[in-house]
Amino acid sequence: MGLSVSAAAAILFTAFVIIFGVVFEAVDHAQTSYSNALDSSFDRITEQKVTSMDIVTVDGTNDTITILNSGGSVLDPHAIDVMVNGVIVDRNITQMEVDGHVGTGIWAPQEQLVMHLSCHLDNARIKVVAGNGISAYYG
Amino acid sequence: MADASVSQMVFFIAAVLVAGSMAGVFISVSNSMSHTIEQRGDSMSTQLQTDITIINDPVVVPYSDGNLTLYVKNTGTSTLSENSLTILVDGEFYNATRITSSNSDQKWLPEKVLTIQLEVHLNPGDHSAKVVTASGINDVLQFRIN
Repeated sequence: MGLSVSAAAAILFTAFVIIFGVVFEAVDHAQTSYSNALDSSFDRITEQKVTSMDIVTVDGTNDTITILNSGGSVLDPHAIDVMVNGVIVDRNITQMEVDGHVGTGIWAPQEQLVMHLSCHLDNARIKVVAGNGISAYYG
Repeated sequence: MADASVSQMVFFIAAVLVAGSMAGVFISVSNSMSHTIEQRGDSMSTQLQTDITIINDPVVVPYSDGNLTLYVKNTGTSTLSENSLTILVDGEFYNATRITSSNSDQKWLPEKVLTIQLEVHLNPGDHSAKVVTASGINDVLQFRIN
């Protein structure tokens, strides 16, 4: 009788050790995944909070838009979307320069981005949107 | 004496079989539970990494001849699928007549814009559009048709 109880207890103990390992691994995986995503989400929201842009000038003669990075985050000029009278005209962007640096991927705070477009900007309503969704209007 | 040994053997085998069966059931249940926990964790992390923004200019939304164009930007950090979007205009579900992006593989990468075209009849005035991703993350645009 004693041997039977011992054998059954050993089997159940081994099973519980296996169960603990399996469940612990799953909880650890889920917790790590969630924690990383939470960090990423927090960073994204923080970056959105410190992002700001202002359209400084729109030159209808040369079809250029000058935008100031008035926030505290470094932006990617290539992730900027431009809407003229409500229509996206990203394909009409012929050149971008940040404080004279053509084609750079870094648009630092207080630097001006000049976008040259191949569409008319006279009296147009313009909206620019950064990669993180923050926008600025003109007109 | 022999009878006692046989009965003890029977008890031993029965105990091992019962314990083994119970252990199998417990391990099976725990495997299923751990799978669910992992799926739930992945789902929650996907939701946290997902964000979209309807970037249309609310006073000059492209609309003509019953065709409405919405621009939706992936402002999260996860790659989304173009085909899993739900679009509501003034609370009613609409199928997109056309969805275009800069990619050809139907992957909607972060910072990229989807152009969604819908056939919808809108009177001049205020309207709303809502785009919902597969993970339930959504954005709403209040706009005006002149």
